[in-house]
Amino acid sequence: MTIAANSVEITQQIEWISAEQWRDSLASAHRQGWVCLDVLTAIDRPEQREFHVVLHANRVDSALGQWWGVVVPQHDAELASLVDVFKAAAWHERETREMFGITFTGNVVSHDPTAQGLLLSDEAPVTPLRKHVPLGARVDTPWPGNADPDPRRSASRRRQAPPGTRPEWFETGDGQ
Amino acid sequence: MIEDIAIESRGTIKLSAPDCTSCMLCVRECPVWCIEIDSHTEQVTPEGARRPRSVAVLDAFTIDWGLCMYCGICVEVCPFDALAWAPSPRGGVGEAEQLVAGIEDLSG
Amino acid sequence: MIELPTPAYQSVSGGARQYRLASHPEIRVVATDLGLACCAVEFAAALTRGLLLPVADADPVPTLHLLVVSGTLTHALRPSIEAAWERLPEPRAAMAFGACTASGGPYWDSYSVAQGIDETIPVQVYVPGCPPRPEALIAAILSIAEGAADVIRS
Repeated sequence: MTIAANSVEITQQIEWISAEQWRDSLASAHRQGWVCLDVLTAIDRPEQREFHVVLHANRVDSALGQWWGVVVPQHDAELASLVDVFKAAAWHERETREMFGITFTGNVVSHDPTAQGLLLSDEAPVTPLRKHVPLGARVDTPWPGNADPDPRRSASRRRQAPPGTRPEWFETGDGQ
Repeated sequence: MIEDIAIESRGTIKLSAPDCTSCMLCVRECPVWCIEIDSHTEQVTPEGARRPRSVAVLDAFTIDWGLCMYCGICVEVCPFDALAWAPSPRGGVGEAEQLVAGIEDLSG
Repeated sequence: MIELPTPAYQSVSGGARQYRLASHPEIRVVATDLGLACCAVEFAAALTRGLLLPVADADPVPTLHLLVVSGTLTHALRPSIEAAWERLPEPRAAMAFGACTASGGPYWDSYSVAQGIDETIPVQVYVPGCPPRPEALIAAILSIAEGAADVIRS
């Protein structure tokens, strides 16, 4: 991840950890001073059938921050919770569970059925940040870019997908 | 009015209709799908030319200002500079439908 | 339902957030800044540029209560702006300030964002922009005040 700050390019490498080592490695990092968790979220990678779960933590004795990442397979979307390492992880893990459907083993609240629906309303789609979940308005709204004044150009032009959409959103049938 | 700000600073986008060739680039690049173009082609034989050629005739060009995010991508992609930033912000309207501006409004 | 911070809202009647147009001292508009996202910064910009001035509680001129909704309205917050509107005294008007309040704006396709505040409360004026500039806020307040002049003076 590259961040441009005041014209100085700061490259922040992600330190990749195996799923088995996730909790222990972060507990170790916490002991070494990376105590302030400010980001924990996921990236859906449907082509690879996996998620990247990424975490960013800061030190309080300096201005340094660091990223950690772990690959979580989609067929077994489960990862050890970090709630006993970072208290703030409780919120982030609930949000990541709600948006991506990843289960965090040991996050008690995340598994409490009465504590579901942290951010989403009842009408919201399930796991809306998974890429197969369509942005409803982009499917229901006819794309103005489909129009073409020149019929010859329109015939020769390869059918272009509307920006901000994925082909599977337009597939009919009962697939998700 | 505040004078000391850049012209791109969320004023409005103007259309020069004679310069528009209905190429659809702005329509297809707009992230919020707020531009619509309706046009047709006509066969025109310029004086002295042997064969007629097709020209696009612009029938409608609308921007929905209720959706526009003022990103300026349409201005950037237009190959003929038919779209350009202009400084005066658009005023308020009483109905959401009135936020959709046509050729005349956009050319003013 | 998520409650809006009540003390901030109540301060409308306490005078802390009552504003009138600097250019039109005769019109007393109680403009309530219901800022939900970044457009709210433009309301603040209008204040710092002196386009809006605080009014005194003792000011006898009748009032138009104006709810200026700026920023992105999520479905979760819809009951809250509805409650804010219901608590607004008559005569009253609501302004949709910025693209999100008109249509959802850049988030028109989102699973969590309402496609405009007019699905929830009646809107008297829509101000386009992402965000609109402070002058557009002033112009819209003026147009609302002029439209409601009879109500204010009766």
